Amino acid sequence: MKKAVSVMVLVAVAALTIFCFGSVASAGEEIKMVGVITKIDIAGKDAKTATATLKDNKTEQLVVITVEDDLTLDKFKDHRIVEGDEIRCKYEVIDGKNVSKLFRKTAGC
Amino acid sequence: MRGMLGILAGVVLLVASAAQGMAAVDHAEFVKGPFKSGSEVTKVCLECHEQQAADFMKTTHWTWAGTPNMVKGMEKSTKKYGKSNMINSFCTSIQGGKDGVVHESCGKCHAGYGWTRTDFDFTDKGKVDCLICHAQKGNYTRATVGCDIDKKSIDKKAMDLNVAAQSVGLPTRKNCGACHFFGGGGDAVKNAGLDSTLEKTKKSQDVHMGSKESGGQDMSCQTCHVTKNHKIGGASSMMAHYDTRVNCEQCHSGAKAPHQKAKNGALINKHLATVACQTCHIPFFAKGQATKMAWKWSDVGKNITAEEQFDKETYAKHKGTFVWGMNVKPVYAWNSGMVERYMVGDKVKDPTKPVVMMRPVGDIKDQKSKIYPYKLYKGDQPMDAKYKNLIIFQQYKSLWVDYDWDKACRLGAEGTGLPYSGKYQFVNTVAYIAAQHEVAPKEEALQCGECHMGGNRLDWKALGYKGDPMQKGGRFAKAAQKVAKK
Repeated sequence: MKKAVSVMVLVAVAALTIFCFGSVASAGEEIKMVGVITKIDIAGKDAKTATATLKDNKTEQLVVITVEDDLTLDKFKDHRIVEGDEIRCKYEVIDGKNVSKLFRKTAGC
Repeated sequence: MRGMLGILAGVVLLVASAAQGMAAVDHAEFVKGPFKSGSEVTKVCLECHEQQAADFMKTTHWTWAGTPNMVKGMEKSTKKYGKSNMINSFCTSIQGGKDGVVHESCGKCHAGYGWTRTDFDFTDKGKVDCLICHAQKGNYTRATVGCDIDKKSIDKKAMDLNVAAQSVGLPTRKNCGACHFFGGGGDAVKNAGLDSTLEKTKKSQDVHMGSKESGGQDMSCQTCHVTKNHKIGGASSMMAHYDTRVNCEQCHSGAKAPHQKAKNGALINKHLATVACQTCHIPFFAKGQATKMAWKWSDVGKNITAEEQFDKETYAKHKGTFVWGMNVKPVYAWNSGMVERYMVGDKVKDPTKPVVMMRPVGDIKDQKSKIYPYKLYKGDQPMDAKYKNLIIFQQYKSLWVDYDWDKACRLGAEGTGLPYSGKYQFVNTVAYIAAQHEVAPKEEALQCGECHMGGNRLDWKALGYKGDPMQKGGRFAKAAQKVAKK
């Protein structure tokens, strides 16, 4: 009986460990993509957040990215980044939102 | 008495408003518009600022050339050198092609309108682009091709030329960065620690440019690059000419002398005759994003799959392969203030060894030299197999179109005055690019153990020492002993 309980406890601990670490891994995972901006939503010049919809070059799926960093927000506000620009993006899923960690135009001369 | 006070107050007000300069003046009142071209804006600027345009036209931002007062062995030359007629190991040169065809692309960063061919009129004030340095709003943008404003941005409503014209003020980091963050053909490519992340950054990246909220100074470029009559202080590693130099002592001297509160201040100060401030205070560069550390032009046109390195691609078919570096530890070299520079037409003595495109001049015996930090940038590019000079090839409308090197070399030669033998070979190059930005918070400055007592950040023997000067003696030790004997 004791043996059975021990095995069950071990299995439970193992399952819990996998669950915990698994969750951490997916939450902290950075997803990379290159895509073209189809839409930018920003609420006024004092906005502290914005969303940009990118069409993934590989999958052609639309991905909505939440942008929170000041520099990129500035570029949205003064139109240095606009719809039609190709973007190299890295984001992380946080509370169901794709939060941008890198949002950079691909263009160079 | 009252009259005197009134005059005095008036003078004080006048001086104060002059000191505030154009930053305090709302130009919306004077600059009405509507404007359809950059030149139309310049015409209005010239109504009050003709002298400023004349001053600006004497600077290298306009001429892209100056006497080579920074190049060892060419100090007395009266011929002018600069972006207009030099070669580097990035996008190489603006001369490649008949009648300067490349100007129409490279001219994106010329502060003028219309330098699309070699017959550009450098005496025409009406061609000065005031807005690229002074517009604060309206997303003023220059076109990638055509040496003009970006009319596509206006069509897309991404740029408002009227707003730009009315918003003029003292240049911000965004203004200077429009070109200088993108040196070498893209963001962060050329310079060591100078890229668009510095537009809005934190003290941890750069103590001078970091935001006030983060504890930084939020300084503009011209706080250090002191400007007089539109001549902007500073010297680029890749160029031949400077008007005035920038140095840390401009601010950090006298009452603001460094290390006064440091525990070992006196000991640290003994380093100052030999070690540049930047050496300890810029322990790493490219902290905001990766910079290009190597570029092999010889891989152009190949079917190489691009990989990612620090979120940047390692290959572009029209440019070749790249190596990127982030949080890069500099290399160190002596610098007396002069450079050794490969100039157009110079013969390559030994093609099996890397051609030095730029290297600081200095050594341990030269008492004026100090040890400075550098980005060591490597590459390869074509050399004429017969004449042994680096080739200026036509990339923009030739190599980038069909990847035909022979044709690109032949067409490029038409713009340079250099002969092309019909045979080319690739040679390796190296360039030492000064790390001058991204000054770290003092807590992150190099500590003794990083260089001394087994620390290996500095290669003492390569610098000419017998070993760690803490153990083997410094370069002034001998002189000090002689002084003691006397």
